[in-house]
Amino acid sequence: MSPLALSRLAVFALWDEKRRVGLAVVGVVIGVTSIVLLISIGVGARTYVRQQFSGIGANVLVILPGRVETTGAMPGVTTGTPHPITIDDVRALRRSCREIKEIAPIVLGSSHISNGERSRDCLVLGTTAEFEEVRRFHPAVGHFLPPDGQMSRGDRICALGHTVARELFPSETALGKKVKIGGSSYRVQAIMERKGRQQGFDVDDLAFIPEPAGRRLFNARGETRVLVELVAIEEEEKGAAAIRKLLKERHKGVEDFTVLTAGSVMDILQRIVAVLTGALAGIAGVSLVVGGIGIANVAIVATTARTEEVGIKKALGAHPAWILAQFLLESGLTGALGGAAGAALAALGVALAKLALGDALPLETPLWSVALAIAVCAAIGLLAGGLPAARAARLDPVAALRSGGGKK
Amino acid sequence: MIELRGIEKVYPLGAHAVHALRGVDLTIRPGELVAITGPSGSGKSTLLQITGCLDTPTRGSYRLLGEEVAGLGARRLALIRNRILGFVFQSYHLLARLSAARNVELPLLYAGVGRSERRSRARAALEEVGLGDRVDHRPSELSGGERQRVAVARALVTRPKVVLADEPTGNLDSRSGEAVLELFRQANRARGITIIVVTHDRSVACSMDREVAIRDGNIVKDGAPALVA
Repeated sequence: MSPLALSRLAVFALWDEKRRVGLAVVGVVIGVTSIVLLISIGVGARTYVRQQFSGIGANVLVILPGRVETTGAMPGVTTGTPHPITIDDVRALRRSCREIKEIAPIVLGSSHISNGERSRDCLVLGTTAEFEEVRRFHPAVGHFLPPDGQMSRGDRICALGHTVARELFPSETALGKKVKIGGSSYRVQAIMERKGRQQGFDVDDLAFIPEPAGRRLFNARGETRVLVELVAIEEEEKGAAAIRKLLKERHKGVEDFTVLTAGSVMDILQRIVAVLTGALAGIAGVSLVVGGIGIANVAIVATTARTEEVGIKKALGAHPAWILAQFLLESGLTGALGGAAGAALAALGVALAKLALGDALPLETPLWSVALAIAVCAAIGLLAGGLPAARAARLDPVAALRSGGGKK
Repeated sequence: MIELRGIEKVYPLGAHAVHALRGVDLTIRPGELVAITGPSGSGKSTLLQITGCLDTPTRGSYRLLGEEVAGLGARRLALIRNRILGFVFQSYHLLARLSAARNVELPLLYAGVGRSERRSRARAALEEVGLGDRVDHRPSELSGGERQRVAVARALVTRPKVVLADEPTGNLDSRSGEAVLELFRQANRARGITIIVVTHDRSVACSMDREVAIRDGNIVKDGAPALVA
């Protein structure tokens, strides 16, 4: 008997029982939906982190004031840091750490910026020339800020992001003009190239002023964050350790700062995803088991209700293995069907989430997860249908025919 | 072609054992038209099941076409049922979800016959039993007589050597029953197929060439059927 003919028989039989089959796979559908959704979230989170770090280069570290535990507040939000990361810390690191190629301090805040009547609020970064290199963010025209040590608190120069420049000077170039930032006047000496959105905000909507001016503007004792470019990407962990050691010494043995590497951020995210995965995987596992029981139930009912059919087929000369194969195929198909339905539901969920979240989290459903879900569910179906199918294959034809309610 | 020697069948039933057959000797030659008669519980159905390789005897020898089949396993018996034998049952035993044509195709499917040949042979078999216009009907859309004719077509489609029928007219009115019996006689005459019919209906027995009467597991009469037993 050809496999095609066998499958057709199985499909006929399933179609006959479509309502019961449908109910049986509900558990499997729920299980698969949650598993595929999970995988989508996990893959999405990983993609998100990769995207974030690709914006600043993989061999870049971020140093933040305050100790950030994985469960703690957002980096940089923590208050009460005993020692701020000062410009002297930055200079010490630059001097002593061989793993560091460039280091750029950043004082970050939000400020009012205006050109006469035209004004807007935007993020202002107090930084140094090194920022341009570390972030690979260059002026379209003009010259970026001077390097660290070659500017004083009195320097009143700035670089504007593309959007800021266009908004404040819609009809002329901003280069060489004066703008007011937080009450002081700055001369625009660079307009940055267009970059678009990065790390969740519009990097074209920024203004850059010298680091000392930034500290004064925001009344900051130290840096909001420090970007470090390492000499080599392989030295990420070594570099982070060296920075930690030096800073800790300078901070009187207190590790009151956080060094974020692409790897460590990935770790944190993966830990969150793992917790989520654990919880959801439990639910998914339970529903898969329930689904398996549902399929087993249908298989038992089917083989019992269809004892006459088994008898007929045996009388007509069906090999026991074919009886077994058909019932197995039916329960396997049932499982696969549930898997496919669950995967489709999950894909729908991902599509809806994308509509709702936009590109905040790049969710994606990898094809392998769909294939895996269907395969696992087919296996569950085979497992669940195995015993009833084996029983049916062993049925005595005479008894099976009699049970059909035929004779007398 | 059918040689039963000392066939016994014992069903264990609790502490007691039921002797359905107590040493039956029976020879049926190719092309015979045989009725097996007897009251309920006489063992006639058991005899048919053993003859049809649906069941195996407890003791005795059964040679079918010269091959000893009494001790064969389930797989080998399935093959014999498929290739050599055809069955017709009192309650039709058609698969409800399949059309008449697909029901008739089923034994060909198990015989490994290709799709297009299956189709044409099933159609031809249905035409032969006068149901050429009913091929796509499901059993529930057919009358009892029509269903039994589908079953006859299914039994004949594999070109068997022997057709075994268990009370084939038991559920039918006399006209439909006669039509079914006529199909058997026709297959017997035209193709030399051996027909064995189990019945307790005297008129059915009388339409056959030979009657084997069974009582309490023993053959009590073997010869030309008579209107009064």
